[in-house]
Amino acid sequence: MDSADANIATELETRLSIIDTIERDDPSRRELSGADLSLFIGVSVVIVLFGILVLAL
Amino acid sequence: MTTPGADGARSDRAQLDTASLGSLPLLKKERIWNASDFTGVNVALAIATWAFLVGGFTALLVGFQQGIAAMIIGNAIGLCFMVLASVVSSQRYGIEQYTLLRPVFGVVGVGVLVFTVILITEMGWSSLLAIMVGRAVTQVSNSAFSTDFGPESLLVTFFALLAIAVSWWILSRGPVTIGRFNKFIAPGLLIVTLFLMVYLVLNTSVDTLFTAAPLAPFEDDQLNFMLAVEFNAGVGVSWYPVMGSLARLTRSPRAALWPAYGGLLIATLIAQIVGMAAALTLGDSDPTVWMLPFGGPVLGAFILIFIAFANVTSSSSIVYSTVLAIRQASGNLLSRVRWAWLCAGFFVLPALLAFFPGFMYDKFMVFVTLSGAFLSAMCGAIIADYFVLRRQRVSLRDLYVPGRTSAYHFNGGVNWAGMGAVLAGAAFYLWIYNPITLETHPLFSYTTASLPAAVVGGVVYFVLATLLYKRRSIGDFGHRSTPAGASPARIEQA
Repeated sequence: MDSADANIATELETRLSIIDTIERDDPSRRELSGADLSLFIGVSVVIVLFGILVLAL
Repeated sequence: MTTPGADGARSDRAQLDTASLGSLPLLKKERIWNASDFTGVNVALAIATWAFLVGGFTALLVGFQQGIAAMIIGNAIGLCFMVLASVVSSQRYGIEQYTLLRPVFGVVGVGVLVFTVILITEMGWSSLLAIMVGRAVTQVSNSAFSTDFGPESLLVTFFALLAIAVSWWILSRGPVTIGRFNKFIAPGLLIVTLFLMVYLVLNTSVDTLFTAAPLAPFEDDQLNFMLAVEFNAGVGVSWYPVMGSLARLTRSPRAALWPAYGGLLIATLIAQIVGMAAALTLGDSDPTVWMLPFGGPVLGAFILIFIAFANVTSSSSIVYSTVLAIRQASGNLLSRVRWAWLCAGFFVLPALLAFFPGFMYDKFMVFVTLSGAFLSAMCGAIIADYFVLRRQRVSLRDLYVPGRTSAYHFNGGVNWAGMGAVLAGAAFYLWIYNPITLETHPLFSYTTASLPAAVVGGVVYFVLATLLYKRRSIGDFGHRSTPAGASPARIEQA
């Protein structure tokens, strides 16, 4: 392992520690909620239906 | 003057910067984009010359109204599962998509996919953009100097090669230079789009547009429409190689999800519809043919030169994340190769393809749909893994631990469930619709081929991963509680 590899390993370890402690409950790390996921898929379906409507007009 | 020690430290720091921006997880302070910023980025990406090209090629198959419907349906489908497969996890973990593919395909499996599906997809797009530059310059030459160079002449190849050389130069300078060029290219392309819109409004009636016949359709109208939908779905899903690298810079799930979907969808639709209208008005699918009739010899030539330059920077932008992926996927093999040489290696095949400009234009739809077959199946497997089997939880530490110590090592570095899912999904796609022979299954007329390919990819992945790994407690499917994953000791051992 050369110095660059060692630096990167240290940096990675630092980042993982921060993510696991300070940022653990941060909103930026939240998983996508079921409601957001359903809304996203629902909007996609509506847009597809809109496309079909354009075709039918 | 600097000392060798200072140089060494600076070199280490530079390598660290490259690594952290390339593959290490970003921290909150480094995630700089809110929803508005990310929307702007996506709009700038989508309003590019490839959107004109897609609009023009859609006009080959269908008329204006059917074309709009095909673009809406196709892009909505393709972008939907592309965004779910790349944007969501990259945003949450602050990591680009290729590192996050390791739980789905294994380290070696990701390498296989990057060096086949992703590399061929991006090489195809970049060679096409380069050939478009050659054609744009040829148009200017024919107009300004009364030359008679054809769309497949050596001049096209020469300027395509020159475009590749300039793309390489920009790319080899790194992301800051790419960003600098894009700052004025994106607004410029927006102006070109608006210019085309104004011209079309002034010179073409709505009736003319809606009654214009498609340029080169097949006999079966329903087949033409579904081919147009499938082509646009392929375009939507072909954003996959780029989006995760960008979404990792956003601050929240909502700041990533909706701007990625909405920004790409709306901007793509506007540029594609303008392109389709221009193609139907002028009777040619090639955007480089439109500008001189639209703008006249001076303004038209200026726009063509601008488009040529825009293509060069667009090519640099899409290739950047791919070259990063190549470096990461190769393990130790290419990690010591200089960035500039790696970029040069990427452009070898596009440079060879530049000698066959007619071939790339003729096979554009085949290329997009064929790459869409594999990307759709990949997206299906990724969605099944991340949302269904892992419930949006990945062990960050295991993504980086090399070899058998990683929970994502599987068998020999390959998650065979993922590879099997991609093959099954792509095979199903080709069974429903073969873009080379144009043979279709009746199902294609109702479902497209991308959507069922993604579904098959997802279902096959779920079944195989459950049987091969989850039941045997391989692959960390039963998940651990902390965001980062296992104990620090494991990374020290590595």
